[in-house]
Amino acid sequence: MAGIGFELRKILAKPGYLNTLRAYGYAALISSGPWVLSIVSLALLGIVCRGMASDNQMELVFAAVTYVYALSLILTGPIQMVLTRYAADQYFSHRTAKIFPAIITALACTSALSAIIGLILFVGFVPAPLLFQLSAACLFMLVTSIWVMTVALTASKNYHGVLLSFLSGYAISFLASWAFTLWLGPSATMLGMVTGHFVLLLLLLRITFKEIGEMEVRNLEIFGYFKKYSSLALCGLFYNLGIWIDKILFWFISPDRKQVSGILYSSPDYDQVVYLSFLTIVPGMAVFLLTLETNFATHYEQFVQRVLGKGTFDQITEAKEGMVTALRAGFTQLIKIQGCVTLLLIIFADRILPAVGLGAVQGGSFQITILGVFLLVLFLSQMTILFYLGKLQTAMVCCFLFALVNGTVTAWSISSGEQWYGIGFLVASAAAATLAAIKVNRHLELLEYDTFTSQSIHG
Amino acid sequence: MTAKPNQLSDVCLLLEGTYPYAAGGVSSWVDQIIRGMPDLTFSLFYLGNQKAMQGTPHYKLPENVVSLSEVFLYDKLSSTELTPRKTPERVAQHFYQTLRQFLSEKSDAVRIARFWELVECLDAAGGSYTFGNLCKDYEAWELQLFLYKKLAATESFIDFFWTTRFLPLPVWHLLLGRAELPRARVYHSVTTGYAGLIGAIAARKFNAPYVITEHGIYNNERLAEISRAGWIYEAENTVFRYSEGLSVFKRLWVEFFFFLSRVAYSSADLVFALYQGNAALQIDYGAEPKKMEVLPNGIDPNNFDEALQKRSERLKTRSGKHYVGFIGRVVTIKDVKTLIRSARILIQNVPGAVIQIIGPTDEDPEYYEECRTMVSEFGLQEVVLFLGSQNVVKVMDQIDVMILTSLSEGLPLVILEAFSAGIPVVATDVGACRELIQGRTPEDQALGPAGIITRVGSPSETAAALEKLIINPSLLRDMGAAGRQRAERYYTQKALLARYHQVYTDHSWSPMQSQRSP
Repeated sequence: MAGIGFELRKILAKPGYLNTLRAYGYAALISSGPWVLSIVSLALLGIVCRGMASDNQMELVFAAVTYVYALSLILTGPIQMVLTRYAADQYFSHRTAKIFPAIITALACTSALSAIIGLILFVGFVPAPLLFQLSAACLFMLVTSIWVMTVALTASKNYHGVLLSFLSGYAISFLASWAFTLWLGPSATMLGMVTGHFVLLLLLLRITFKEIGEMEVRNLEIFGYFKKYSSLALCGLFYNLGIWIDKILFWFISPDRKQVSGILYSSPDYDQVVYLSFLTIVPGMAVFLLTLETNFATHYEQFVQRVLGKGTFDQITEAKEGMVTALRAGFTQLIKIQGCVTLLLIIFADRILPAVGLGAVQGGSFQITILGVFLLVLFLSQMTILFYLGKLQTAMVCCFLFALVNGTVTAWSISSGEQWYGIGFLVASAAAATLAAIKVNRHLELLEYDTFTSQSIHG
Repeated sequence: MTAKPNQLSDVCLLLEGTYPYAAGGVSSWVDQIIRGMPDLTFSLFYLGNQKAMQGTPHYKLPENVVSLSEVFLYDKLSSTELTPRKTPERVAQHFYQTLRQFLSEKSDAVRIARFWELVECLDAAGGSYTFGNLCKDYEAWELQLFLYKKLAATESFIDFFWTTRFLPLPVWHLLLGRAELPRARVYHSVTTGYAGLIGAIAARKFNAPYVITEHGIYNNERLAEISRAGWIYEAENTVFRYSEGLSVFKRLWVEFFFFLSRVAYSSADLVFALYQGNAALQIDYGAEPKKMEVLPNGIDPNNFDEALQKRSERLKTRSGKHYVGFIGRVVTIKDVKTLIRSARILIQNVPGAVIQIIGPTDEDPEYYEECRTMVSEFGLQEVVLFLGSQNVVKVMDQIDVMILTSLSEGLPLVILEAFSAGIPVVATDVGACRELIQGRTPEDQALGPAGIITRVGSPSETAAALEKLIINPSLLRDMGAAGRQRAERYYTQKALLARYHQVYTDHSWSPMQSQRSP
């Protein structure tokens, strides 16, 4: 008889596989996690270095680091997604030996690519001391590599080591930047960032090598996966593009934009507000992931068990109802908690903003973007479900919608005046969350049908 | 042989897993028919399992075979067929409505009518409805659920799903194979089942008469196979809720095959059975009595004239040795062990008896080994001889009495061969053995018995029958003569060929000729 649900069988055969599938969700999260961290460390740096460097010099560092993060996330989005998938598949078929070489191969390719882009960008288009230019290019390469490495980390059991690596990496970045600035002057601040990120990358490599390391470092199979999972790659691209497109538009077409140096622009009013809002992503996501881990995953596993374990149709449907109930509970909790946080921040915006050095002008955009982040959390949660259900195509379409709406509405809002700033991000999150919700609903409704009929009769 | 299905042939033979690829009784019968009628042209429509598993043909096709078309029932469907297409709303709606009626119908006659409606729907869809549609359309899924709730609501859904998805696959191959159907004046399927279904479809399509000949009974063969099948899921500790004692899934398969046969029987104009017992079974399975005809296998008795001569010469001079011959494969179904047990009894009463076991021993080496061990344990090495494969015509004169201990038989050719050589036969009461030995019709019975019938698996009865013939030369002679006469009168190849030739050329017997609507 033809095989039933390869995907499903994989999950059943190895409970760990479910964990690796979760990695899809983490890949998106982890990319926001560190950059939340970096916002914090940059802010700290700004405060500490206030006396040592001029505002202009600090602005240059801020803008450069922001560019590095934005571009590296957009560039590695597709790679992260596809590599995660590859690692999960190899993990399932007990060919874990192939994972490390694949990661190293991907690492080699992306760092070569990012070195070229970094050099062209920072040496060619940012007038600054050579030390700064080279450090910035180097940082770009390092951050790109770190994003690729996070793929290996999603499967890592060594949570402590990972957390410790990130903390020490960012601590060193912060301390070294401060020390280098003090010692060599403002153009060496960037060198401090490079040092910290370099240490971080080494620590991550060490953890990965200790866990799944191989002496082999080449695996070209991974390139075939880009073709096979192009929708996944596009998903990574559109998601990260969607996250950044409003900021990029503000840098380049906003009337308030500021040319920091060469091609480096900033739009301080909008940037600061958006970064600050973004910090609120944490509670909602944490709550949702917890539900997903404990409740939904259990029910999903039960569903799979009943399908493959020769359950009756009623038993299968019952397990699905369990999944739906768990999801509903998860979303309710998410909406409660994230809603409270959002509501409080909106109400007390005019008291909070001055405290972190933002003007009253930005209050409106803050309220808009914080609502946007609330919806983004909803969107991200739905995406995680879509990945769980294997609906990569749908996920890709949702991400595309997110990027498209964010781009167009932001462009419109910039030309329509300050009171509309942030509306692009809000509308995009709302649209994507709505579409994703409709799709999740539909896919869950048809879950039994999909599960069975998606299998080919010829195995 | 290149397929030229467009050329109109006299007869189209629909063959399921037999001629020209496999050896065996049915295949040699087909070969006999084709070679026996050089004045007629034949087109062949062969149904195989999977193309990749298909070996080379066992038979060289005679000149009068004008085409050979092949359909493989369990091959992968093309990606075009697996991709759902946009079926016109009206067509799809009618199709699914009819399918629902088909699935919920209880009366066979109505169900068969619905089946033909479905085929018409697919004709109307003209390729816009694919197997992919059947697999992916939501309506199809709903029907699967409907059927599940009706038949198997407490059973494993995944097994139900795959069972009901696999059942239509070969039928779909057949429906696609409609395009390849050769044009012929008569369609003749040599089984029911899938070949019967495509025969019915062909006859309907071309408005031609349709004949079925069954050697074994297809339904019984499938039933036996499915009962044994380990690949069909059965819940452990199944509580038998059907008199047949089959699980829901096995029942689905059985009913599926039975339905195929019903379609064939209902479309056939003439149904041949090899012997009376089979005819009764065919009627049980849905064939109309008025369409039935018993036509046994035939041979040319003159081929054995020399053996007959030599044997009677030999029997005149008494040597004190008595040769019992077994001709057949050494396999479980022939129950050689009962023969060996009876030899132990026989040798005590008739010291001169020798049992010759003639036939291939390599088909079931384990069983052969067990038989050998048994022979040596009984100390019968001098009495029971394994001679391997031999030329049947050549060894016949060396046999005094023919023995057959089979658990199951159709119409064994070896009995006809023994009869032709004037050898009486001791055989178990299976298949056509009783009809052969005692006669079928009153005139036939009047020829007298050509041997002795025994119970299945009874060494003592077998031994007693053999002894009776051996110690009684006049009985041996009389029964041998009756056998030869019976073969000459009722079981000649000539008679067989004459009847089929008549069926193939004179279609006036077909009542459907004028009635069947296109």
